[in-house]
Amino acid sequence: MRRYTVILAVLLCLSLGVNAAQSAQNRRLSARISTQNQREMSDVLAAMADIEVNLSKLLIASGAQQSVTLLGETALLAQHVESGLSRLPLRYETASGAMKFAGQIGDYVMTLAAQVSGGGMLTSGDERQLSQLLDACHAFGEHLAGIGEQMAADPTIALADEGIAIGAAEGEEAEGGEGSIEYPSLIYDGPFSDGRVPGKALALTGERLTRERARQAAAQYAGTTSDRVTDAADSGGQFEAFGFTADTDFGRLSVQVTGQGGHLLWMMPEQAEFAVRLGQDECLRSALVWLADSGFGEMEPCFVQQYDGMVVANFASVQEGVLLYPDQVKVQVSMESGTVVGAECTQYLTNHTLRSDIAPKIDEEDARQMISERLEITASRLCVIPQNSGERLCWEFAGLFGGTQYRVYIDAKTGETAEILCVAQTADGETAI
Amino acid sequence: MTRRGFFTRFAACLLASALIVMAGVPQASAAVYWGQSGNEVRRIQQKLKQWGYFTGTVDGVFGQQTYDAVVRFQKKNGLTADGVVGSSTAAAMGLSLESSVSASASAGSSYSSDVDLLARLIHGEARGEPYVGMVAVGAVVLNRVKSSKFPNTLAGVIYQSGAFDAVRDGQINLTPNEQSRRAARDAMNGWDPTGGCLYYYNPSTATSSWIWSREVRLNIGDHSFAI
Repeated sequence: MRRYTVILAVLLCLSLGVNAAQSAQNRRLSARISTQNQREMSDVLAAMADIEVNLSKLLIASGAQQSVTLLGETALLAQHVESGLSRLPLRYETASGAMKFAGQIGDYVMTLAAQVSGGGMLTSGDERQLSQLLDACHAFGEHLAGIGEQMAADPTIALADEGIAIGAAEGEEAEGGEGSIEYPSLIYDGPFSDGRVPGKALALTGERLTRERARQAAAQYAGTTSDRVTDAADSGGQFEAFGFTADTDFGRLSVQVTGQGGHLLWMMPEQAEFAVRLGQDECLRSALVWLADSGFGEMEPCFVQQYDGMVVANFASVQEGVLLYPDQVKVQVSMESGTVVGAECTQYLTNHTLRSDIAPKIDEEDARQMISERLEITASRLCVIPQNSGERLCWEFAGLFGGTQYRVYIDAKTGETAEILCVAQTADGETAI
Repeated sequence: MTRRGFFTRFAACLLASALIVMAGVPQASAAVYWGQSGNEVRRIQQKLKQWGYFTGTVDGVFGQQTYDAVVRFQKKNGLTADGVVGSSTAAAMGLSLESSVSASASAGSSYSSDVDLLARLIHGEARGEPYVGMVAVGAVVLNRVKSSKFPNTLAGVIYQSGAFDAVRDGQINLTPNEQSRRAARDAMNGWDPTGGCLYYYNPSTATSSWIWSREVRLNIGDHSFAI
């Protein structure tokens, strides 16, 4: 009996020792996390304070060079705030307003920088908006500082699973006063502008279909018969669509067909992998036939990848020899059977229309002069590329520099460089970045 | 177990561990294969073109046509027809390979690491869901990257505080299966079954009243996708 008592006492001492060691380790880890959070918060607050100073200087800056420098610095600081916010333990549903605000500051000042460096001036409207932004930055900085103080006073709040609330969640009523923050509406010509309204889908035309007619369309896209097409979940939103599952001779496909016009929205194979029996060229030819049969008109492949026994290609529409990059359909072709097993048509449905002005003002030779001599040009053509607001007619020059492929786009109306893409080679094929 | 038996087993375990560790050490390789670019690829293409195996443009990029030409060359010369120009294929071509080839490797590896991270999230969040549902989870992550309301990098969105259960409970660190990888690639290539949704939740387990207030656009498997 005494022997058991001794064993129990030893076990108890051991468990107490282990528990004490674990508690000490937890305290050290908590302290480390708390220190990191506070350091992150200090960096964000310092960047917000610098943004405020820069915005106030901008309101009295007179030279274009000084304004562009201040705007560029502010954009970098805004990026710093945005990435710092994403690293802080903020409740993500409530952080969307703050993230958008930080993103908008950077986006807005970059738009102003482009305006000023292009020879324009800050208008009185810009100055009014900058002044509002300055006030909002001050309020936002104070709000963040309050959260920083809470974190310093009680480090455990930053360890909660759900994170710290920063204002109200999107769509929720702010509880008024403390905890609520108002972000200004910023209207400018940039992707995050509050003035941007989502465009109408240009190719989403035609009459409304019944489910049965949509089923027939789904069968046609999937290359099967209507009796092998069963109902699946529908999609809502801008592209309201009927959902189907289609059994084909080459596997089961999920298909969504728009309620308006019966256009293919997307199609995807359920099977994970196909055997490789056919070459890439044969699969691309098969995709072109399918695109023509499905009513997509003249198209050309512009990016091609290969994985899981599929050729995955982006096809863009062609109008009078001009490649329309915004009007893309992505197609997956099984390398086992050569049949199209997947497609994604959202971009095409959003953008496809007959362009009225695709005649260049600058000829190819003149555009070529705008390209750096370092780029060894291998191909060129006229194309339309998407931009933040609208699109641009450009001369595309593909070339090599230092063993890497680039595509340089020169505006065919103004001669400006519109875009430079680096073509990254991956194990699956190529991707533009 | 005798002492000798114990030591024998112990030594065997040590040996096996050493072999496993050695197998895991990446070896420097001078092979040239699909996806690479640079002067080595150009030299290979020139050789293959000279001998009639390659009919494409000598552009220094190892794509489908170069791969097919290498396979043809290997078959004709009794080599393993794997489309990879290793030391024996290079020797048969009369070339010696440098140890590094690609100038675009950094861009390509960034893309690959994004696919890997997204595949791990999909695996942690949606394995067991229909394939379309797995792609949809990947698409939600990418829609957040594009949205002004979320961080503008893939890692920023995935690791945002409290955004994904798989990050909170560590399931993101599991090795993704092939289906998750394929779903990640499809999502990265633009397949978005959700039509731009920013949120998803499981209606049978979600407890946040806020998430229930979002407009649901589509239901796939156990998940409701919302904006």
